[in-house]
Amino acid sequence: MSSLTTKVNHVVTPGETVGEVDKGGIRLGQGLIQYQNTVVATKAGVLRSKNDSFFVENNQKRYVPSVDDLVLGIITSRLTESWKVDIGCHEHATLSMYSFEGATKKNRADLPVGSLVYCRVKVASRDMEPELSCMSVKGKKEGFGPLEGGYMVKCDTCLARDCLAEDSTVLNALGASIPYEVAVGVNGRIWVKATTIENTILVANCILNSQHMSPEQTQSMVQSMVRQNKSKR
Amino acid sequence: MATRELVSPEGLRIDGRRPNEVRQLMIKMGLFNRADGSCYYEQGNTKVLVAVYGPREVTHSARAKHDRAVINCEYNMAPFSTGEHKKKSKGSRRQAELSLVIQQVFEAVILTELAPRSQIDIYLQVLQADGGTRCACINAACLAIIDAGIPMKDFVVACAAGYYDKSPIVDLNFYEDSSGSPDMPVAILPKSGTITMLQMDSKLHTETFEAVMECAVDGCQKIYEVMLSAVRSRTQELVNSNSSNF
Repeated sequence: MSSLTTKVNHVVTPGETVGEVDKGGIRLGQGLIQYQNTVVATKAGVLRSKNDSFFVENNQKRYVPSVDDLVLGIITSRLTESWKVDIGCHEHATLSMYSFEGATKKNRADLPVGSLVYCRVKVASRDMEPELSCMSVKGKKEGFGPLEGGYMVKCDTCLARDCLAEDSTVLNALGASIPYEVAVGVNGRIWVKATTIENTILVANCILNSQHMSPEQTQSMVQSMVRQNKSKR
Repeated sequence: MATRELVSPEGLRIDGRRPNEVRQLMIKMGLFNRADGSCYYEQGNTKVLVAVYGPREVTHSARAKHDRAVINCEYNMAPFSTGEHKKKSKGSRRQAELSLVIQQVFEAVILTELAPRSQIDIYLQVLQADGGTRCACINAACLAIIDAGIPMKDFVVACAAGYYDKSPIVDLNFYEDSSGSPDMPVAILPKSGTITMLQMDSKLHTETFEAVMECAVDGCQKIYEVMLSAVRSRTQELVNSNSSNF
């Protein structure tokens, strides 16, 4: 009767038995499935655990939505009281016009088709289309909403997750030399905005380059790109 | 008919293998930028390339299923893949049959209930055919699907076996296949040994059938070990190159 914790931080492959569960209180996230008492991995990746939930972390290009994910979406069409948003999964998500802080019938948000929005996944079930919200759980704005200007790049989901970490090497190294704004969506989209166009492109390229680099390599890459950019002026 | 015997008196086949030896495998995953998952797979001289997209929006909304993903499989042989230049590359009967067979194999192993109203596309391209193309395609597609992160119950591994001179031979190449030996491709889920595909051309006695099938299943388990270690080492590589924040 091995518990799930024995294989945490180990590589698992599809079909591999990860452990046994005999009582409740454990949440199985992506990449794990339960057959009676046994838990089997369905994806190839590393088994991770956070609080009481277990999941398989892997590097995939395709985003699969889950609740409380922070994503970048592009508005594709407008319905009466909501918008259809493309977040990169197989179905377009819905964003209600009332899920903004302080929105009422008279005071509705008005976003044109094609705008980029930073939102939170409110509902993500396989039987329904995903629903988004531009409010945090407590109902505050907290950085959600439309993003003006800047430049959005697409990347793998694991690069996006790495950028969300507080000690992300590439974002901190860039921040030491260039002032910029960044919004990271776990659906593999990163939005960057700096004061000039060259800096914006520089930041975007640095982030994309840093995917397979170690922290030391990332530092030296960022420093050399910033230096090259300055010497061009 | 064979002008040379398939297994010499010393027990060696034409390419120097023993009757129970599978050909040499070469696996490369994650080749394409645009595809969600991809794999290049070589089994001896048979070379196969697979690209997988999904789960993504269904192309024809009428084909969407409300409770599961639709799997769309296209098998294609490049015109330069066989000895003679193939003129008709689209719409041949064999192509349609293989596309359907491989689609059914993956419908049994991919967890399609996790992505209703979506579509998973598997594109198989045979670059060089030297026997065992459908088995090579299934193995390569399994690896490409794992590369794409699409959830599966287990690996699916395929291998073919034949029969010559009272003993089964595993993993036939083109010469052995066309020399009149019966060809039995088998696909299994290695953990449970469940068979998801079993085909046979020509005739076999019921007693020899069991032996040939066991030989093919054995070959599948050997290929499984190679595929498993390729997946593990690639996953470990990706983990090492990215930082982790858990």
